[in-house]
Amino acid sequence: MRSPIPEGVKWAGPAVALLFALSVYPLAYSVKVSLTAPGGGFTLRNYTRLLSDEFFHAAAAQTLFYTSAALIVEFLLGLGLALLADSLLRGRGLFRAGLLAPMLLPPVVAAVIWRLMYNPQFGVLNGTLRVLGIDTSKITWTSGEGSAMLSVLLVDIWEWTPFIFLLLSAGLQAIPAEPYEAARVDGASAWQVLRDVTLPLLRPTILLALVLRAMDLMRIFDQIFILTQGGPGFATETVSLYIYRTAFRFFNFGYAAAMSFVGLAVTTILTRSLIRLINPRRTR
Amino acid sequence: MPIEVAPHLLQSSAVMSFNWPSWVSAMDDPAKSKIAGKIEFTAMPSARRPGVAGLGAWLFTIPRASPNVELAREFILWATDAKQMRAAALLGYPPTRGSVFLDEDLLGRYGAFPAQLASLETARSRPRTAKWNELENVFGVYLSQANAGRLGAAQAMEKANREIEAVRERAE
Repeated sequence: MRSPIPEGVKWAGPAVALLFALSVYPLAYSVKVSLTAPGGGFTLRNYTRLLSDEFFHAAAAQTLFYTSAALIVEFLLGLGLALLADSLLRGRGLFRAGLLAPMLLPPVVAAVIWRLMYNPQFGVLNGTLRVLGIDTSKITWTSGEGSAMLSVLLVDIWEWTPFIFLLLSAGLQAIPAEPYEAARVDGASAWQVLRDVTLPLLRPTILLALVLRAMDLMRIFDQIFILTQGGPGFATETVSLYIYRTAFRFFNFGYAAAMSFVGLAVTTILTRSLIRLINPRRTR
Repeated sequence: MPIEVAPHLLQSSAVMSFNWPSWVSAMDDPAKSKIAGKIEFTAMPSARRPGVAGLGAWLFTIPRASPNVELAREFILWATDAKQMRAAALLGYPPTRGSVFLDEDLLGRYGAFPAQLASLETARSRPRTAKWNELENVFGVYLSQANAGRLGAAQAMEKANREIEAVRERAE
């Protein structure tokens, strides 16, 4: 006798149930939490508070600055290194392996290493500068209001430029030789080849690399948490850190959930804008 | 980072700091400190009367639901007994008893003991609130901005006060 339950439901059911339990239900629950007042009942206060919360505004501005700065520098460096690796006749494998090493470290480990290096008193950076005769008494790296953001940015650039390099390097290798041969026959300069052949053919890979990094950067947490915990003061606080602090130090889960949903919406809008900017023909 | 404060003092690369009592004992140990015998200790300053403020304290507590309340109480009495406190003090841990702070031998080793005792005798607990983490965060952020020169001292404290009021209002 045939079972009344279709075969497809039997096979897909457990996976769908697991997905529902681990993803859909928590998401729906967090929407409910963000719309629930401390004493119970419906409220929009967690969302309206976002408009007047100076800490959230500062964290959002710093997240945008961090994302933009890291994305631009990592892309330019990654592209330059990928072009350099592609042009090498010998030692390309060694060059690639050496460049990829930082990316292979867990972000927490990389951050701990840099935290030790940044230590103004015992770190290797100030130690080296002192050996060179430079006065390091005012070089405080992650402890200075002005230098902390640049210090955490440097760690991100060091660790994640190899990711862009890896993707663009793979993209460069996938470009066929014929367009280059045609450009040479037409007498194109190196700059013209880069502008009119390499970059247009590399566009899908560039798009992928930028979108993946942008999404990753907008939720940056681990490196900054280890390096500065958002300090000194609020100098390196990002939205993810502020959400963490609100949820797990201030125990205000409703407001943390509201910030998470707004962060998700902003990330989606920015990512789509980025796709539209780079690839205007494929906006759907 | 708070954990870097004590090493800076020990290496003589900082002038002064607030310090946890458990970090203070190393200051007088020539094997660990470049400032042994060259540093003074005092209770936290206060605008109203000397030594009112306190950095914090660690506690022994017995959970209300503990099935072994008597055993836990016995342990606390044993662990805070003068004999145990003296042994702990010799390892660098701060005592909890006046008699141990006044021990002649320990006084010779730890120059901070009189200041630590004075601090304990005059310290006052801050009002208890479940919102302490949030209040501390607000105060710390604005204090840091004043320290860095991004805000004037008065402006930073006004902003902190306004934000602390907002935290209190939200909690009500």
